Amino acid sequence: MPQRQGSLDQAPTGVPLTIVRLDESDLSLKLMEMGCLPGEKLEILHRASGGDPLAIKVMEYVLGLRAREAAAVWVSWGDTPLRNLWNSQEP
Amino acid sequence: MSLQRIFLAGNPNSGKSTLFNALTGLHHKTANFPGVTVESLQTEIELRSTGKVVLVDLPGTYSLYPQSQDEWVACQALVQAASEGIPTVVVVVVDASNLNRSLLLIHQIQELGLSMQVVLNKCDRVANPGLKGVVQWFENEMKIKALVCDARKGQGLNEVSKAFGQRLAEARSGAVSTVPGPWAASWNEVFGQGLETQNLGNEVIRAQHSAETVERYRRINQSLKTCPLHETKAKAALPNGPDRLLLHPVGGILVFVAVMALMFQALFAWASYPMDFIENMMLWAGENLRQFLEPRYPAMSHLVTKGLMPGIGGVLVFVPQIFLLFLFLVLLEESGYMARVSYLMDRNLKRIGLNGKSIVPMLGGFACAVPAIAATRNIVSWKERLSTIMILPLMSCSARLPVYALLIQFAVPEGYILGIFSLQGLTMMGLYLMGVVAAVLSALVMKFWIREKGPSYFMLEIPAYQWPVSRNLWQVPLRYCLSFVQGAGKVIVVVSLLLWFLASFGPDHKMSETLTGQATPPVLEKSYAGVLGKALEPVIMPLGFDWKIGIALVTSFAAREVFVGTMATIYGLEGDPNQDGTQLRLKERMQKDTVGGSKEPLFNRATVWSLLVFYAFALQCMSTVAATKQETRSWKWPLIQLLYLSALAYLASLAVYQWSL
Repeated sequence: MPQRQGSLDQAPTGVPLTIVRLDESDLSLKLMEMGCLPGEKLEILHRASGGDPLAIKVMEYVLGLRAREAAAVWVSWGDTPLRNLWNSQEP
Repeated sequence: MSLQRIFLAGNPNSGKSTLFNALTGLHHKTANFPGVTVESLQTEIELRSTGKVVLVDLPGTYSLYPQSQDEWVACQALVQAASEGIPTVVVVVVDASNLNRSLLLIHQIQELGLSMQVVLNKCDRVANPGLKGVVQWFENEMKIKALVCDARKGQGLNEVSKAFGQRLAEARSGAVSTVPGPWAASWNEVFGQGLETQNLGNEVIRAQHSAETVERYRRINQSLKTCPLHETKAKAALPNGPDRLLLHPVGGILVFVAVMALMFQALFAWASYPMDFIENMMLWAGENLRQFLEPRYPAMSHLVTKGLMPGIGGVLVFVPQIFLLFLFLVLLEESGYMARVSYLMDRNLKRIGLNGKSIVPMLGGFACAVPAIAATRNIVSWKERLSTIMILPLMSCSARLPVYALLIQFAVPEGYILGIFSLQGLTMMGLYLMGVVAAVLSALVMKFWIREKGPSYFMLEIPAYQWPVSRNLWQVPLRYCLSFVQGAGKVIVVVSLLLWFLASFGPDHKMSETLTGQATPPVLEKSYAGVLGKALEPVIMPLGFDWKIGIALVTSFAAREVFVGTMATIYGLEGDPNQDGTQLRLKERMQKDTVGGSKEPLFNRATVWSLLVFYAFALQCMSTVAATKQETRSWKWPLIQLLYLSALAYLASLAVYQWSL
């Protein structure tokens, strides 16, 4: 699969994503404190109706956030194998 | 008072409050609110080694950079503690299944120079609950004492208190090793700016904050390489399991409505048994007291049995309903369902100018608006928070329950639909719904009307499902019931005494003669209370209320539930309609009352509906006014709130009465 990049609110659900960078804003600061740091892996687990809010898995926990907030996070996907990223997701 | 202090700090959902409850039992200075630590809840506990200490449960926070009001409370307490000179221990409660994220806060607190203890909680979530290696790692790598505890099961609590004693001893002797950090100065800058959380977006601080967070996490990840991390057992529930249904756009809402319906059914149907029991007990006690006191002290007998007892009974009788309501709220919060409801509702709440996080205070508003107003502190946006506060009194609080419960009996016949849903229970639910609809519409008006700027966001950890701890299920509701009986009880006793005085004496009567039994008390109409009610009558006549209801409206501004007590006192003083001397229940007495000498019952349908609607909307609660003033730091918002809700109540009642006549 070729590597693709995009903002988190546009990224596919259920696929391992890697954070590339965050916009500069108060919002990103909060996201960083919550564990969304460049290089960190995450995955979109669920989208509410209309795609907003969405639930992501990051640092072993589930975080709900609005699509507008997710837009501050730039992620890449497709360059890593789909499995083996989430030890807790393995049966 | 320079007592020694222990602060419980930690991320939200780390199990901090469960540990606090396990350590303290029922001894609290302030009332807690289910699941959410709204204030710094504190209590004195006795430690075997060091004697009395103050244990403070700080609101959960992810870092020392506060973004919301409740985080501010926690951060300020921690940062100031370092310079206050009171022996202080910071206990950081850590969710063992999410060590990584907790380490950010630990890292920051470490630089404050306070005696520190890490408690690894929720160890049932990890594969190796002993966490031996992790405890060792904390000591070797982080130079922090750590221990393992399971607050839910109450395991390891002795070790926790023992550690409290040891850390306190270190704090007193000043043997605390400080880890100097390059960032500590910036906190002083942040906290030097005052309490405006909206001002945190200072460019310099932001850049520093960002660099700091990245660097801290780099160090954390570096040091974690030597930590024997344990695999997490609990799987994230999303997107499978119950969340498939509970977060479904349609199914999720249906489940939520069903849960609410069950809650109100319980409040009306199940609570009626203990309520009947309490009411009968009070009647029995009152009758016995009267028989004992009347021949001996006639004046006192009148005061106690006609003034005090009905008032106290009016409070006690709805303790079961408050208990059940809080039980439900604790269940929803602790199981992890409430966070899902916030998530599910955020989109819709955002549309009406609120936030997904508003749902917790709104449901809490069904219990009591006062703690609910304080519970809005975790909403970051000031505008959303203000809107939430403004509409909260429209959520029918538990103080309206007894009013509804008493009045519905006159408006709706007993009976069942489909054999299970009581008609009166459904009416009750309808009244709650009416409040919610009014709240939504008011929020929409606020959305366009309130001009306050500030960022709006919704970021919420969705915890894994768990069984609520049985201790919390009775302890939190019971604690609230106790504080309610104490708080509301005082008000009601004072109001009942005042009312008894106003209703027992009149302008034409000499008090001394009545008290010594030389003259009979005046009929209610001629008493001070009657005069007051009569003066109000022209204003409330269009709503279908007579002067007696007028008296109740005046007295119940202190607190709504006083309505029932007032009715009980008024009808207690009116004399017994039963000639054989037996006491009648309040409902029966009210049923016999008629409009000014005619055959038409006073509590007819139109009047009762009008009264129900009035109580659903009106802001008759001094404590709410005070709480709004406290949280908005001005008189502007509580006054606006009082005015708009009064106008809404009056107009709606007017419409209902005129239409149903």
